[in-house]
Amino acid sequence: MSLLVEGLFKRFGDVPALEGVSLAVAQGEFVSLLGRSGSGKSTILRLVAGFEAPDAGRIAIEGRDMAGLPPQARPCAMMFQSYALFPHLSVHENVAYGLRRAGQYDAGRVEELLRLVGMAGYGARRPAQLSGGQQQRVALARALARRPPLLLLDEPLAALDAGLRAATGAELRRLQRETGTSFVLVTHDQAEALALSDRIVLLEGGRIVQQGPPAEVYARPATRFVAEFLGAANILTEGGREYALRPEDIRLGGELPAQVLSRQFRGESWMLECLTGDGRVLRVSTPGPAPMEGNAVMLGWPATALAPLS
Amino acid sequence: MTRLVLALGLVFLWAPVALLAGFAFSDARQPFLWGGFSLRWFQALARNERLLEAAFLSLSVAAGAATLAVLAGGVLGWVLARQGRFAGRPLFGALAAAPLVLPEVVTGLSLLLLFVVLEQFTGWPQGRGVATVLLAHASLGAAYVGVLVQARLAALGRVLEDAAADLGASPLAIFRTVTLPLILPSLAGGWGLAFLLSLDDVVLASFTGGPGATTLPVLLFSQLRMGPTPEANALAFILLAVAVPLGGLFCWWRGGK
Amino acid sequence: MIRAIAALWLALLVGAPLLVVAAMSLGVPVDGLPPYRIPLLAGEGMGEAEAWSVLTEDGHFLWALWRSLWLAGVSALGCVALSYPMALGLLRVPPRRRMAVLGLVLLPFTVGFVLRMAGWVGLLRDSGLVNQALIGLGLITDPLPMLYSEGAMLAGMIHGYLPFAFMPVLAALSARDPALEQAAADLGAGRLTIFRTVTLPVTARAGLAGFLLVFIPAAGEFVIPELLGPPEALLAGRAIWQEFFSSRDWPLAAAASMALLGVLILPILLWQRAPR
Repeated sequence: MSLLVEGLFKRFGDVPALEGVSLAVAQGEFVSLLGRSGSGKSTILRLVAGFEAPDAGRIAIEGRDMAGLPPQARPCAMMFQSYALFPHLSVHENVAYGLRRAGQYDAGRVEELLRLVGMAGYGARRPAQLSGGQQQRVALARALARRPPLLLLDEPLAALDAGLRAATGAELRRLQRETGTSFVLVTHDQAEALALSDRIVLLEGGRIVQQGPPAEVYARPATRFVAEFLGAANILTEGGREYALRPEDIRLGGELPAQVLSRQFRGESWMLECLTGDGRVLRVSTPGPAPMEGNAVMLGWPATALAPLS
Repeated sequence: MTRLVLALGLVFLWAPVALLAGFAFSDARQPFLWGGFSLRWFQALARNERLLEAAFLSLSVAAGAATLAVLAGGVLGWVLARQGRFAGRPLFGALAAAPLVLPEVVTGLSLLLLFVVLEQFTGWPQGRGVATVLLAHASLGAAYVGVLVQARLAALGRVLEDAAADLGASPLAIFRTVTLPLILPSLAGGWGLAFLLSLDDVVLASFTGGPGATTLPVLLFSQLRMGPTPEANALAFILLAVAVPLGGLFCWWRGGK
Repeated sequence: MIRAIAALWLALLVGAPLLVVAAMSLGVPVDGLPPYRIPLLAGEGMGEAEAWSVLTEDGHFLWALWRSLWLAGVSALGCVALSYPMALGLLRVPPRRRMAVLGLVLLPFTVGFVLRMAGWVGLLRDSGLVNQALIGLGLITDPLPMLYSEGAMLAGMIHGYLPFAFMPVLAALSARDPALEQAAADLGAGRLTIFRTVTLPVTARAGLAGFLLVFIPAAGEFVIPELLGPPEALLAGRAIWQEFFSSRDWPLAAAASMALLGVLILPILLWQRAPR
């Protein structure tokens, strides 16, 4: 086990941040912690890195208990949301920082790392002379320098332009595969978590509400929160039970009469809001051509598309 | 470790001050000997007309200099922050900031010599006195006010003024309804700073003041050269007794925000 | 129009005085009122520049200038060296009580500069509190001569000028990004290494500004050496004061001021270039 977390509790003053979180990350696994701000996902990262001490619970990395160890002595490395590149040091010296502290400085290794993240030749620059995407790569190289078995990434893509995000995410995924490092990534962006991870862990109010492979969690959300957070599902109540119904699982041309309230073009599809004859509002995703606002439509879905919620 | 140094630093800062305040209540004629509890030096202070006169003069000069400094410094800061580049701007900036760092003896001597030469050529000012000390202190205070106002205006940016202009406000109306209210805290802070600087100054007042314009620090300095006095201890206690509740009030007010 | 008023203020109260000092340094002292004559202003050319030859040929002034820079340098270094750990300590105080502790740091300064120095006299003189305590403890029998020494002067300088270094250092330290130091810790740096390789370089501009903000005015300090320093200590501020008030040699005092300004021009330019 690369990382083992058991029964983690943490409060800041009167505010509870974590209420009993347990989590295991296997060697070479890419795990995303997904949740809204305040869900406790960043707190887990800071506790694992050693910037805060848990009120209760156990953290072990590579089978070693981390209790009482300062950040310096922990084998994991962290990539900060703001990247935290040292503004007074060159790119080369930023990447070399951890190596120097361990007495393992090797200019060749630094160059190798810069090549790995596609920043070869930028060693002499200062962080302020780099674009956001380039800074992100340098931060990654710096975190990977001492070959940590576990890398913690705090919203690594949040500071980037939308256009850069997909490509950089793919790059992260490639590096994770190449280095064999376990990644624990914190994000509030469901698309990012779904696209990158082997497993996603959904957090709400300091607790884990569901975890599993992205496709499984997406298809079978366990709670109303998960269903709405991942892909804006419709929530239906039938026979006293709640079900999640994905907008893309509803087809035009069924048995349920409805009227189109509004339509939004999403590029690859249209998102319609429809008012059904029995007074419900359903979101429907269709590749188009889409009916006009005010048009009458018929809706339908296969019974297997209904995911029961607890 | 750092908290230990903080504690030691506080001891270093407070030791001489606490000593003064404590011995203000000593009955002994020797200023730092304990001769039993007594309020006699407070009574002596209340009867010391020279000292009271100097204190009153200092307060009036400080209030006048601070007011003048806010007017002049406000203009300086506004020009530096809002006039962009103009011919002579580097010299303007250098002169505006110079009083902040020039050694006091240099400022004092230069202002005095200016006043002497001015009198020679124009007949004004006739000799040195309250007016020249006030001008000297205002010149120093204006530099501090200028820095504060410039920083505040730079931090605010032009957006709000542009918005007011877009809504049809004339330049004067913009200044009155937007700029002035926003820099008011800096002006108030600057007034206080200029007031305290004036109240604490020995060197400028020694150079630019005449025999009729002995401010409190100048008087205290000349007395201290002869040796410390128990009346000075009583005065130190009174200053602390005024400053501590004011500081507490300020902390409470800031803490509420 | 507004700019013209501001420019007039600066020209009259900052620029003109410095020009007058420069002119005065070329004058000669005379008996009478005013006690000088400036050939340059009387349209008689540059004149002898007597004061300048006295200044450069008399080793006294150059020595005083050198000693002033040394004293100012040590005082400024002391202020910055004390400001860093004090400010870091202050920032580790919980935010609820931080304002109060900051108040505790700044309150002693409300007593006023001259009275604070009186406090140091009371602490350090032969019959002062420190000597009373040492004798009372039986550690010494005769009082240690502490007042009127270099040490007393230095203590007074650091006590007098500390806020000028403390406030910029505190501002820079409280504005620094905590993630930088956390990143350094995460990469294996110890506490002292973090301070040396991250905290100090990241706040170096403020540290330098604080140093200069003490160094420049301290180089001309007159009151503190006069009250606490050795009577024979020759310093630029004292020299200017004595030439002006005691010897009534205004041209010499003006030339000494110009010389002091001349050696301070580099640090002043350095300070003005530093962003605030």
